[in-house]
Amino acid sequence: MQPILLVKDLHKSYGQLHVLKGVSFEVSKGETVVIMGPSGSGKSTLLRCIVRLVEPDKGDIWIDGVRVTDPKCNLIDVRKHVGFVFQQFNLFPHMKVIDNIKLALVKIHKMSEEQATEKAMDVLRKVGLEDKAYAYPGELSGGQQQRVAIARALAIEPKLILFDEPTSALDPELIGEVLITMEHIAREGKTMVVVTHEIDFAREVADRVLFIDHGQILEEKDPETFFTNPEHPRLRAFLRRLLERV
Amino acid sequence: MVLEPVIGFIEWIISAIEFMWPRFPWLLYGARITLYVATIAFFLGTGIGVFLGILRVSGIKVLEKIATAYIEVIRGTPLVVQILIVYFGIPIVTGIRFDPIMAGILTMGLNSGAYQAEIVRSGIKGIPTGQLEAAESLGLTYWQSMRYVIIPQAMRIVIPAFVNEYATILKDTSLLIIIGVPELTRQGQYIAAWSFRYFEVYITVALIYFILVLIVSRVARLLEKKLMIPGLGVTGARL
Repeated sequence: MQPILLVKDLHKSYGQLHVLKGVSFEVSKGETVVIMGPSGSGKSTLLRCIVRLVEPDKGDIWIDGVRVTDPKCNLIDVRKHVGFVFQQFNLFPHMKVIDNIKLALVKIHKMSEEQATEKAMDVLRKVGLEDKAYAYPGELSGGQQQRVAIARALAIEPKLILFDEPTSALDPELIGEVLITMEHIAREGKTMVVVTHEIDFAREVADRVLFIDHGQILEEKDPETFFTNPEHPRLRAFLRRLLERV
Repeated sequence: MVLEPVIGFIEWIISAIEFMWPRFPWLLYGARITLYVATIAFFLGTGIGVFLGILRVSGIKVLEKIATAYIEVIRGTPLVVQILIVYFGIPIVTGIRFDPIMAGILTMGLNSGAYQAEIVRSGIKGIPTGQLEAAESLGLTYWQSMRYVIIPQAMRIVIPAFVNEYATILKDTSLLIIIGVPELTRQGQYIAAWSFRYFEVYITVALIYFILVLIVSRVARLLEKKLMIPGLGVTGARL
């Protein structure tokens, strides 16, 4: 079967800094892939390259068979079908929660107002925040804001959702609600790529875990083997540091 | 008597009021012209400012250069000289003659546009990059992102700066005295010139400017409150 996401030999440099040094991996439909790695290892850059919020220097990316890295590729058509959840939520603070979700539905997906409202309430129900539809993002807690951001990504019925450290900006007591929401979505069969440091989430939800360091994928395993039997010495060191922190 | 100077002062005040009272309508007429010129010039400047401000951050080098050049020329020359060029210079070259009020509005609008462009630019720059990323990740184009996400936030953040600019224009319209616009200062000068009561007249003129600016800043505070959104302070502070 054709993978939803296929990344081949991706390179990206910022000036002298070689952030991605030939990254290749694929994600099948319905899979949840977790990417782990030390900060500065290129995880965020990798996710941004996939929807070309950052221009890769070299390499190819296919999303559902469409070569995104083709210069002739219409970026809007690609992004229309890929959800992106940011570390800092990036909700639009001047719009009510429901308008945050409706913006793309109305302007990009050409839904009518009523359809968009219905769809927005639908996804808000999914993340358990239908009662906050008419609040402003600034009136919500960090965890609620991130759940709204997830709802916003879900509303466009994406083929693929990318999560860039979705819980790293949250207070510890708010992390759980976001992870539970993400788990629900994964169980529903959405295709997800999640950059995170949350070991429990990776263990319980991921189908595969990738370890990336210095711009290269060093290990790619099912979660059980990844955590109990890590091979690469850098992964072992990384996991040790991560577990010490907890 | 200790009271003598006090009584003298009170008498002087009364005579000043007695003198100013019948002439007050002339000053009010001037104040109306001042408000009229300042307001139209301000909104003309806002139009130019938003346009140039967006050009400044468009990422298109030629457009950025043009906008920057305009802003630098305007900010690098005195307003009085600009007024003289538009009123006396332009008609000679083009044959188009403006009446003083029209020339005043035009000059002040063009001038304010440069300053407002910088305000708009700083507002846009003040929006976190994540906002543009989020908008573009949803499939919005750069211009759609600007229109629906960046500009509405930027404009809220810079309301205080805009109000400041309006107050500046309001006071700077007094420079239009040199081309004979019958604004507040010119009206005062007219009264003072034949009565020689410079002090009373110009104090009254100053008082009227002061009250106008005071009203503007109060109205602005109401506007800020009305446009306030939780988590998006007009000062740009985030919760």
